[in-house]
Amino acid sequence: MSKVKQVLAIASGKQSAAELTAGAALLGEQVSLIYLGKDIAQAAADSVIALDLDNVSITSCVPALLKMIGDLQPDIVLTDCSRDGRYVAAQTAVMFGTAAVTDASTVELCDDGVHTSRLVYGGKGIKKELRSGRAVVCVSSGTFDAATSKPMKAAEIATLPADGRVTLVSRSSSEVQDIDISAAKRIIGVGRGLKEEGNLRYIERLAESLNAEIACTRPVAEEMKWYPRERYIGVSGITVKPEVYIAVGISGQIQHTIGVTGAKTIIAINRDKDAPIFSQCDIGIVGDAVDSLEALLAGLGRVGE
Amino acid sequence: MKIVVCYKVVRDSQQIKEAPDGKLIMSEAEEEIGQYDLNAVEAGVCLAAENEGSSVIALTCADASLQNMKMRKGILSRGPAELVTVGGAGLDEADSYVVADALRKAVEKIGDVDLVICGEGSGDMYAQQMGTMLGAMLGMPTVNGVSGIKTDGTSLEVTRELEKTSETLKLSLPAVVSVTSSINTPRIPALREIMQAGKKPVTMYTKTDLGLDAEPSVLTQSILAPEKVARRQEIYTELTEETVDNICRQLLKTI
Repeated sequence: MSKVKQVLAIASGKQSAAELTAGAALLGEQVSLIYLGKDIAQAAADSVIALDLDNVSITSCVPALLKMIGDLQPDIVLTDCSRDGRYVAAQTAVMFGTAAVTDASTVELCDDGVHTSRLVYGGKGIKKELRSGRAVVCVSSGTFDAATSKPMKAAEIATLPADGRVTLVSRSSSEVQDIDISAAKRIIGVGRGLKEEGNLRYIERLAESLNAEIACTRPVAEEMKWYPRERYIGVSGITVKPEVYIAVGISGQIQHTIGVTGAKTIIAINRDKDAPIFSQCDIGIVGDAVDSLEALLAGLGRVGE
Repeated sequence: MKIVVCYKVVRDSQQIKEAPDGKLIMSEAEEEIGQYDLNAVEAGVCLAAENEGSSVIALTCADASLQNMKMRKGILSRGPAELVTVGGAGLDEADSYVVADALRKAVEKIGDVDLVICGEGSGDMYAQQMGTMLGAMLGMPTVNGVSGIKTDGTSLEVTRELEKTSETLKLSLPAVVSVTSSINTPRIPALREIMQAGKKPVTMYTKTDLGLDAEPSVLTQSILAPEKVARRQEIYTELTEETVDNICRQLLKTI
């Protein structure tokens, strides 16, 4: 299939900008980037616009943003799956008279249009969709390899006028650390089966001795609030592909396990021998989480240096 | 204030089973109100309670699930005074553009709506598009990721959560907002409220009533269960020192 003429990438972070422009280069002859922020100097695209959003929210300047997008005449618009990315995708899709496909983990161009796939029903299904005509796709992180041969172009900073209907009163930066668990080789996943927050010290000790990152399930992040949202693995959280994943007190609902299917080895610790995690692991330990963690820590002491 | 809260009846994902050919068996999974939509309903009902003279109307667009009386009572028992539905063949499989178009025309038909509240995303597809699309189609200011709402009746002050920051925004009314699951804890209706819900008015529009003619432009090719990864499944019910050492050696090999 020959490429389309113009692909526009809209990104809210440097990593997604690199991935989306590289993906755009696979789909289109010309690549444009609209970057939602000023903190980018250059990107691998034919035109790079960096938006100065210091004093506005993206939701305050929709008409001007849509005009900027329309003027570029894109055949395909790719955004990331951030809050702003999804927002711009929805606005752009309505302008084009179509729906955006979100959370796409594959994006392919064929003779009949843009084919995408995404997880649905909490990870129970993969939905394949086809859009013939101008397409808008929110692309999952990691879908495109950021490497590209396209030369870099310096960013031009642009401001967008606010429309007066949505006004930015203030912006606070929350205490979110820059966490990138997706690159970790070893990850320990914490589930509700760990029972008490105090038991996290065993997890932390194991993480330290294995040089592992700690992740968790959605309930552990959102209900128990033991770890920030950035650390939860699953259908609406992050997807990881470590060498080894140790699931502690995790029952193995597909909403979570879909995020670790790419792990090379999965070790599961759970009290319930019938927990679904045991049919999806390489090594399973049926037993109390704390007892098992203590046994592993002692074992590492024996066999380690 | 006249507040419309949107919701979708979905199949409980946890109960969806996989057929041997990889297709999904939906019929055995029970219907439920999308979990994130419950936050939208709660937000609407709370906002109405804080602003005297306000009313809350629940709105949904579907085909088969409209017949589920338990779902009707379920939504009305959570506080809305009335229910408006848009029904018609094809709406269950429609893309989000077609659904947003149906909701938009229903909101226009209801008339004089000050605020539309949607959940963050549907319980089945979770594309997180509907509220923003609906706002765009209605030509109203719209904001997603809303974790807090205050109003003085003429404008809205919202907190919008992004990945690393949060914005405090002032919106003119009428407006459309999509709320996050952290905005509130949805109520569990009492038996009395469920009984009373059956007496609340329901208006059912058809596609013809609203002049709906949008066709899906994103076509579903297939929905299949993801392929399973084969795993060794060595399960230990007892941890001898030998077993532990063996597991630990394998663990250390990955370092």
